[in-house]
Amino acid sequence: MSKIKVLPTDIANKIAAGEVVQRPASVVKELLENSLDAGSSKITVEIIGGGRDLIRIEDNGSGMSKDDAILAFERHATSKISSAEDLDSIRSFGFRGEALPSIAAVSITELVTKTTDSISGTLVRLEGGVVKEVKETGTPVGTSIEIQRLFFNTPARRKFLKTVATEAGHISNIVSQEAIAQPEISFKLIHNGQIVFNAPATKDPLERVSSLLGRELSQDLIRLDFKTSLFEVTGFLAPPSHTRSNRAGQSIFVNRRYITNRTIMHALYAGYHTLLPINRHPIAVIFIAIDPALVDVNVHPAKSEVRFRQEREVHDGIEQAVREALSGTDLIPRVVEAPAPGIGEPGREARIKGAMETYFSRQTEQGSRGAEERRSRGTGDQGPFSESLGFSPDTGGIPFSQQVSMFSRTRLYPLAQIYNTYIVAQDEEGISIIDQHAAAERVAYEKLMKEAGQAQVNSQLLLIPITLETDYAQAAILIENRDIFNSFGFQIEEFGQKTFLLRAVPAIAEKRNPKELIFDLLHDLQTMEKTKDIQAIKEKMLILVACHSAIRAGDKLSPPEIEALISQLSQTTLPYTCPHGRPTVIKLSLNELEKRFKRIS
Amino acid sequence: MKITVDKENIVKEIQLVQGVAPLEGKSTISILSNVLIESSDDKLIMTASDLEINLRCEIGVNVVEPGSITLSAKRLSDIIREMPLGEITFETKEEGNKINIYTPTALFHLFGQPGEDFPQFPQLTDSQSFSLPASIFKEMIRKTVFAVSRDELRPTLQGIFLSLSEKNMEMVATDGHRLSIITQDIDINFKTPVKLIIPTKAMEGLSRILEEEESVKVDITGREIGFTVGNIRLISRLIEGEFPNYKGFIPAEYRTKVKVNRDDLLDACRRVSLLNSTIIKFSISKDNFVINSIASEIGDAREELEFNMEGKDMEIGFKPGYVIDGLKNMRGDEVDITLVSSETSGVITSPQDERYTYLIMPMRIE
Repeated sequence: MSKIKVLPTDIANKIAAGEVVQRPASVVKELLENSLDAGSSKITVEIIGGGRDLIRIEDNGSGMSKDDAILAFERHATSKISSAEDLDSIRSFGFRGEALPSIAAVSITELVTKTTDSISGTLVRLEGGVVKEVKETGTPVGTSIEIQRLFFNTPARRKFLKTVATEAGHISNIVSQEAIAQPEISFKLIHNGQIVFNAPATKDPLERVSSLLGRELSQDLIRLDFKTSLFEVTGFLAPPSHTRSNRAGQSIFVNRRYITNRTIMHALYAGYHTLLPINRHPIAVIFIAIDPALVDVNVHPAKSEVRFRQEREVHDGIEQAVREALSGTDLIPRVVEAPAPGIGEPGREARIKGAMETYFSRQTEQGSRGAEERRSRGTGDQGPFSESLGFSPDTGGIPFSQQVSMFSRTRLYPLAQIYNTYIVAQDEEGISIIDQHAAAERVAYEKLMKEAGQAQVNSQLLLIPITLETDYAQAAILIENRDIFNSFGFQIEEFGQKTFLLRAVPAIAEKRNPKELIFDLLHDLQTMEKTKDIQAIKEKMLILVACHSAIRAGDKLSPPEIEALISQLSQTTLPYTCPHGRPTVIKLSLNELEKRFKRIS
Repeated sequence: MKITVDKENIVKEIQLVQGVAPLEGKSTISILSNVLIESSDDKLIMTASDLEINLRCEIGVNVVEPGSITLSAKRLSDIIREMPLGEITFETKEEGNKINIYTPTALFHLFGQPGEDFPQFPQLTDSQSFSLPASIFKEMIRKTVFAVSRDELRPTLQGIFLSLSEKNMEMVATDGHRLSIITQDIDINFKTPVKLIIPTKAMEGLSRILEEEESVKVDITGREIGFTVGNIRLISRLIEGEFPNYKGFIPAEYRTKVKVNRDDLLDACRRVSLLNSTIIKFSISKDNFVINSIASEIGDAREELEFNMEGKDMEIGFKPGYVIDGLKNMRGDEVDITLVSSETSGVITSPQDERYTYLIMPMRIE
């Protein structure tokens, strides 16, 4: 007997489900696309328990006849394409005919649908992909589909689901993306009986964007409107003064389909070239309208990736569109041009230029300038610096004897700061190059750890509370973890559905932009595994707060500041890496130098 | 263009003008790193701009031939500074693209850009104007400018708020942690009160050009503000937006009031904060007024002060730098600190500087 068998349909569907249906949000995405393809003008999404217990999507689209309603659950059954040629110019969102059977295979599904010309509607009920009931029923025109107990028969998958808040967050992001792409369709999302958002139909895409991204940001958005012979780009860009620590603020739509695409992403960053601080990401909503024959959407089962026939042209067009939109906008009066010292990180080129200027101007000035600067700043941030920068004997027990002895017992002399980013120092054994940000992060992190251990948290109360406008997912996480935030010295109050008031900030993070810090923290928490591990969350916060409060690459340091940094770093318990694990110091030994210059062999 | 000017008449002015021009590479419009030099009618006019702030300075010179050119502001300022004392001649060549700057012994031959490419100096129309002794203005700037915010995302806090009515002028700055308010009696004939926000950089620039004995003329339009001091004119754009309603931040009453010597308090804060520059604690009771700081694994410090008090006992934490900033900029031997609670702003005033109010939000002690 042959060992290789064709798999029964139900197993094939379960396997397909693994690709298409990864989490409740992917179910919502697939079902929304069906509703959109059915020409609906009003779509309501209702979920319970983050979509794990129930997902119900109701539309007023064209609906299905009884035969179609049953056939829809067969694999590769679709009304959207009928021949292989159709694949080359797909105008609908769905086409693979995989979604419904895959979803049905891993849930209890109930479909109620009716077309305009039939008298009564049809109800189809499936359990684990097996049809249990088909009957006539009264219902308005359109389709309502209900998914209960997702992954009830695949417990492994169910276990991988994250917290209710996280899953609900993913769903609200999906619905938001679709809502941004389709402003003329009215969207409503309900979670556990509460309206999460209600976006009525509108003609103005900006109105939809602003109701979902927040009014505050929307005021500053720059309109994108550009045409090439190949395609058309519209949308909105945030000015470089608004950036995020991740790409979450970016939405790209090709023919109104939400997608990710490296080419477009690259073009977006190229368009912002030199305007973005290091490690910051632009906020952008980009709509690309292009002949469907020139795009391949059949790259990924979830259709989240597309390929362009003319990649190069698309890239250059978008880069030009972004650049023109940004340069056509007067960025100067918004005080973006000259960031206050220590807040923004200038682009690399500017950094190098700045460093060169500093370097050459120093030749003519006395070395005492740094000290003067520090005095004029009032108290100065550190006390007087210790004379010796080497290890004092009582802190010498660093458990790193096997490493190159960077912090040897001999004194480390700072020589210079280069590119306003690295510190070059020498001792008897060779040259050390210190990454000032990584080093400062390590120092700040250990200081914070010490403070946290003593449960003594200093927090600066604010005269004017700062308003935080979050999206739905962030709001959920913020509410869930508010006590932890507050235990760090924040004081956060709810102020409306996704608006919060920040009344106090941790003293250590006071110099940095507190808004940015909170959003970065939220992003980190969003990507965390489903865990209630407060220690892990705290650690994340410490690392971020340390990162935000530390000296950054591009900050010009005076000689006493450099000395202080080296001395503080030498007193940390783990001086060789920053809290993220990047090295703080690279060492070039004298021995190696001599070898390279062939002085010794 | 050909002019001759004595070094002493131009060296300070060129440095002031240079202060406005963005450094090369800092602006997307490269000509802004230059200074515009024009001459006509026995005057040399130097102009610099970063599009937000425009500064212009006129100097009486001997004009042989009128004309104009723009040159790197930094380089020109460096050259003039190092020139030998005495007369310096500026002579353009090739329709304003090159210039010779020379003394009897030194010669610089420089490439420049034509003057026509430089942005026009703004003209203020429909402005309301008043004049004030420069010394008063300078003190008001000094007492507020240190408290402005550096937070790019809150542009309205990145400037000094100026409120003018017929009899009263008020300047306010806040970074959300502390607030500085200074008022001044004036007598101007403005029809309606004016409220505006002036960028910090413009106020810092103005402070440098204000000479004690002179007076400053202020011109205000809806979008710009102009200052004229002697032969120098500075025009700045205003920051758009609403300044917070700061009047509501000042507590209406207090529960504790301490009177203390200003210098003693200032010195004590400086000393005690040597161990912890983040937070120092004020402990006030009938018996003593103690300032202390704690630094984990380093030690602690405390200092007792002579004082007078009324009201209830109080413990409150502050960032020492904030306390020091206010005390440094306040006149008089004695200051009054009024407090409501450990979570409400503290107010510092001085009987000898009664137009100045400084308010600090506390640090929470946990």
